[in-house]
Amino acid sequence: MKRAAIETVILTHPERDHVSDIALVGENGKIVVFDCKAHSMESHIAPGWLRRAKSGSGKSALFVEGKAEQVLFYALAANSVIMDVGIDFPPLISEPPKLAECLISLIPVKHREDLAGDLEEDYWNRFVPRHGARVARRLYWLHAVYAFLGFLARPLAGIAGLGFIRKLVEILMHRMTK
Amino acid sequence: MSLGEFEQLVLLAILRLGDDAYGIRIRDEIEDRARRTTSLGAIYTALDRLEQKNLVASWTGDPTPQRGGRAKRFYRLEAAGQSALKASLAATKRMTAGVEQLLGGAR
Repeated sequence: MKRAAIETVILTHPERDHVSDIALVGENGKIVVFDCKAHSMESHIAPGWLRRAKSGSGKSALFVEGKAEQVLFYALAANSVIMDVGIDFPPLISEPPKLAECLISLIPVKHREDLAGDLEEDYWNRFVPRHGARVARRLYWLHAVYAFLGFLARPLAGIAGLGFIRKLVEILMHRMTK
Repeated sequence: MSLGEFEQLVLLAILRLGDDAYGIRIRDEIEDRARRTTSLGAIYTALDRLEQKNLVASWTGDPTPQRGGRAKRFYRLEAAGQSALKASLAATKRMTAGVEQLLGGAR
């Protein structure tokens, strides 16, 4: 028996493009499913969840296409039992790394929000679908570091090595996206 | 005002995109058309430089949930930006006139 190492699963209906249910799986394996419609959860859902749901509908939709996994998942959720199941769940999508977001907060105020928004959009629409969650998180990091160094390099242009580090990060980014 | 090669690409991308010119779209346009890999960090540092030279102007759009509730910043060319781009392209055109054959198969 294999424990699924997951925290959050988004369930969507295949025929509909909106989020129908959100299941949370705690570290202890307990599952709670929120039926958005029945319990009017939509107004209570944190913005982060909705964002994750919309962006993550691709892989997570596997749970709701009438497959055995979905039935089992709901059964487990209904009984709130420990989730020790022999199923390989699809990789789950996680949020962009928070620490890297902090790095973005150090760039000039004018571009801070724009760049953070663009990077987040890229994370969900480009990095995750193309490279998977793990590489996506690394790419997010590299892009954040590269942007930070870019803005830092201008006032501190004379500091030796800064340009070299930035070049190194650029090479890494290109290698990972090849 | 002289433009760097990358600045020229960014200005051309903004011109092509019209009202939809923001960071990601500009990056994508450069990658698609110029076939050059670039990053958002490079785009934003170039945009910042161009804005300081008054070659582009920017405005903030509405926040979207897909961006974590953050707004997009859109860019458009200022008159000075158009003039600088025209001059830069004209210089490139004059320099390349007659040398295409010498470059052979280069595209």
